[in-house]
Amino acid sequence: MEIKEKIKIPLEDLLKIEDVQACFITGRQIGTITPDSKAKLKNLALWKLIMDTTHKFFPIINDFYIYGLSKLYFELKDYEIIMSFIGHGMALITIIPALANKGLIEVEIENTSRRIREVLKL
Amino acid sequence: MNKNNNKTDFKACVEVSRKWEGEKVAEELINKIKNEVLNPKFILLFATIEYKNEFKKILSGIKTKFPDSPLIGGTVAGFITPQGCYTRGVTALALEYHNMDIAVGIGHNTKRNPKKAAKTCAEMIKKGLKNSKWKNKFLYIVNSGVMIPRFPLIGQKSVIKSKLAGKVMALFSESLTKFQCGIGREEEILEELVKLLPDYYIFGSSSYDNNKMIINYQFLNEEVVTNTIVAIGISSDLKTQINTSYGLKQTGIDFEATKLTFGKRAIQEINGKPAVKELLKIMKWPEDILNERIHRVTYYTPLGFEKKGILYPEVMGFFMGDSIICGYRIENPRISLLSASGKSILDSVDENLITFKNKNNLIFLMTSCSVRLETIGGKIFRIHEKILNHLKNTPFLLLYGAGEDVYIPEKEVYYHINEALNIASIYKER
Repeated sequence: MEIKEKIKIPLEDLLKIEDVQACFITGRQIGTITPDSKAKLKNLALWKLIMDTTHKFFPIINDFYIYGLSKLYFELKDYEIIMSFIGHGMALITIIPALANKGLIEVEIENTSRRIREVLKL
Repeated sequence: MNKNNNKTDFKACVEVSRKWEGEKVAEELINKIKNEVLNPKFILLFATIEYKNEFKKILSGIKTKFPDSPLIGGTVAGFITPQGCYTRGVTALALEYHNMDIAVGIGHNTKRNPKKAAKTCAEMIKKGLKNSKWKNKFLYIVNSGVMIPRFPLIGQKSVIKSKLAGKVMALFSESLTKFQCGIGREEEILEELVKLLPDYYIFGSSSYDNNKMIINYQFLNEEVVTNTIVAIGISSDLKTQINTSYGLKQTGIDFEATKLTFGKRAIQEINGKPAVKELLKIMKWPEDILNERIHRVTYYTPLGFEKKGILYPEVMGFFMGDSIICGYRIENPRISLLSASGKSILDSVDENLITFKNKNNLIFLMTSCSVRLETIGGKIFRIHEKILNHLKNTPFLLLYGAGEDVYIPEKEVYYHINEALNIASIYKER
């Protein structure tokens, strides 16, 4: 199985969790990988904005890697965006409702990141 | 890594399935269990709420392969096993040991009549183990935790500031006995169990969902039920040690709950003034903190009171008008504000596990509060590392539920609490 297809499996599992509205992997080397199932996020404009802009963060945050950067959070009015860094220049993006139980979801975000690291042998 | 089959004829394993379909979960768990434990004396099975449409398939699959192994369990917010940390999945603990007798118990309608449920359950355990020749008794219990009613027009809210609060409070109280939707009343169940089974170590937790407090389930063999207590009584030559740690610090802020209502579970007045306003004043919190994100603050600042030297941490669950509603009875009106941090929660793991050092531990059962899991989030994997460092190859299962129950007969102490880490070791004297 191709690496991209292997990565889609844990992403698909993450998206099945009730409060996960959308998730994808983005990185300089790997591009953007989304699960095969459609994102649950209803706000298409926001979804497009997230997809179009997240890669632009990498040059800005590059210098923070040496300090062990692992996550970035964006709190919007109705949603929260969690950027979990899987390796240098690669992140798992998860979008959840603002009032979701973030701690519980973060455990599965971490499991997803670990499975993707395994696939990529990082 | 997840088995213990080399210290006497005791065999145990803790297995996990992350498959989605019930049949496949059952098949995977059966195969994993069979590799380690051929004829389980009993099976404990816990699942997260995502599997609610698969429970029957999972249970019937497992019971078909292990028809003689009594099974109990329920839903949890998450769990840690030797394999990892999960807030989505199914876990099973299977145990085999020759010098052991088992009985199961069940009591229904725990929210309407907790005493009666406890009595029915205890009688089944007593009857089932009356001919057992082993002297050491242990009772593992799974209760039904809190479920919050959804009211018409209001829905399910943590904060109600409007004039409707008084009405909602009355409905909240009524819905507990009428619809069995509300707080778990676990402390009343435990009190009765201790009366009826004074020689048993009692250990367990309350079933829960993904912190949404909508529904929770209990399992008994192939049955999926709610608002019940299910229990496994164990009579054996194995011993039990139970220890509780908190990782909560005193803030130095104390107050008097001068008016308690709702069966002592709601604080209506603090220092003689309306409770919510007075709390905001004491904590120097702005009024706009009272919104649906309030738990992101209150999870770190539980209330606590002491009774017979035991600390009882309480989560401030709901803010209704002037009242703060907590999860269980406040037995001492002298209340302290506590604080939790990620570090203190992590430190409490070491503090607890160190007490089991140098014992011939065979298996560890652990319970904790989903609030701690929600608080620590992805850093829960550090707890996993700590447990593995302490326990090496001894199997364990740590469940995150809606409250924890402990009774230690030789100390004559029992408590139903929140926000703690409770560990029970089943061990053999050398």
